[in-house]
Amino acid sequence: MLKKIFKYEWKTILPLLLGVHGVGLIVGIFCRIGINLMGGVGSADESVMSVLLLVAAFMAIGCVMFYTYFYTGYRFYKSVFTQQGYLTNTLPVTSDQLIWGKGLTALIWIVLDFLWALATMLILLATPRDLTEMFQDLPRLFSCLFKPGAPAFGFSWLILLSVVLTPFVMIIQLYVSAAIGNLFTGHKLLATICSYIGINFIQQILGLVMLAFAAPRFASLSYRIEKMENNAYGQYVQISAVDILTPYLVLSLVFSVLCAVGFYILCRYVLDRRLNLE
Amino acid sequence: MMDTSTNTILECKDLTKRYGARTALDGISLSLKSGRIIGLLGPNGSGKSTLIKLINDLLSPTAGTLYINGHAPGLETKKIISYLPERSYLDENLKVSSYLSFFADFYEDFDTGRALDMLQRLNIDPALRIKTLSKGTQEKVQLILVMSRRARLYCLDEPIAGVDPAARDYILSTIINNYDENATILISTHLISDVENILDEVVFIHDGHIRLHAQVDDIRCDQGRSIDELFREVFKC
Repeated sequence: MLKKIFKYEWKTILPLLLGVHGVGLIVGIFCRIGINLMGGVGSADESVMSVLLLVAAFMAIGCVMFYTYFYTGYRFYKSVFTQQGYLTNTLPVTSDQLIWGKGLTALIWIVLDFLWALATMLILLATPRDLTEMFQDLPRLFSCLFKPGAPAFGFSWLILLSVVLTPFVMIIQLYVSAAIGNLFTGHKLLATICSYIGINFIQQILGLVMLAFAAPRFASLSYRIEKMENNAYGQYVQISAVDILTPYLVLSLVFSVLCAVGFYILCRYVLDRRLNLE
Repeated sequence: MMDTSTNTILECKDLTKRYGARTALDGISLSLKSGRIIGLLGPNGSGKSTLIKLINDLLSPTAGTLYINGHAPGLETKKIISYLPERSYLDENLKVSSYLSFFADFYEDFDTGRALDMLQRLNIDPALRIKTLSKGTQEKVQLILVMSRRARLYCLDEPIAGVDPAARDYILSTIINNYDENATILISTHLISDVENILDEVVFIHDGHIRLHAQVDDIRCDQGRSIDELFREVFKC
């Protein structure tokens, strides 16, 4: 059943998101052509127009990414908590299958969206020489970051883990907002939006609290910088920054995992026990 | 899980549903047998749709118990209940054929041949998008999807409200001609005269309470009145 939910969700959202990304890509290509015709961003005469085109292209990329993210959330809201929910919620599927089926579709789109944005930015900015250098340097960069024994080995993996985890948290946060919105008698969409903003606000507050826990480590950094010797400057700062940020990142990751699990349980609970399709 | 040895398809006890301060259903108890066409009759706002939504697990009861074929509403009951809501759940951007595939994929008891046959008789092209169909035709498509399942219990919420008399006749004949004799049909409506000829039983519901649950023949024989006449008397303003 999970496969079937995924299949139909994918088929439903594919045409619209494909179209939006296609338009975004065309905007990027036209902006690049415009920038090239004006001699590039760095040229003395046309730099203002080139920068404006670049800003327009980046705004288009941002809009597409913003739209993709919120559209996947809106799809969940619409298919589960509006009139379409009369069909979705009478299908012989479990709430887990429903959340995962729709969530996987959203997850794939967010990953594709990220790759699309990367490709569009390369089209906008990169020259063939840049691309060649980038692809030559990539293996070296990865080995510097992720190879055992690298200076920031643990930190790099934590960053990677954080990047992988973020889309999951983003999606389930949208879903739980829709689930909370469903508990209201009227104005459910408004309640969903308010829930999303409220959850974000609480997360920010808790993030600040975590930062406060990490503050003594920053004080320790200042002390160590004062004491360091000139010939060890670069290495010392690099190691200290990683040293300080790693515990904060671990704390932040644990918090994200807890949020994701909590949101999932709450979403499942609402679907199973508090569905309110008046 | 309840005992299913008897012929009971639906049983609820002290079932209550409140929306905030408003009580939609107030401790109702009801038992329905299989193989019957049952009219759930009452004026607007009496609690008919609430009861049907509780049966379909679209709402959670505030108190009381509800069992369908021995199971509380959930995965098992969704396999055997075919539900026609009061409003359309069809996505206007999809084609009729997409819904045929959708129903065939999710419901093991869906009979695609039967659905195609009914669509053909109504000259509805499955290749058409829902948004190109009139409101009446969209309702017929939804009814065809629901009645093409070989379900144990059909819950039809106001299937004839808001459609013209010709469409009403079609809808009622579709209901009668497409259900298995062992299945149960629960029709909620306030348009009594249109449905009373097809009903075996009636449940009168008012202000969240059951006022009457009786066999249609008994009402006619004992009281010498039609269901419509009795309804008008019971719900007199």
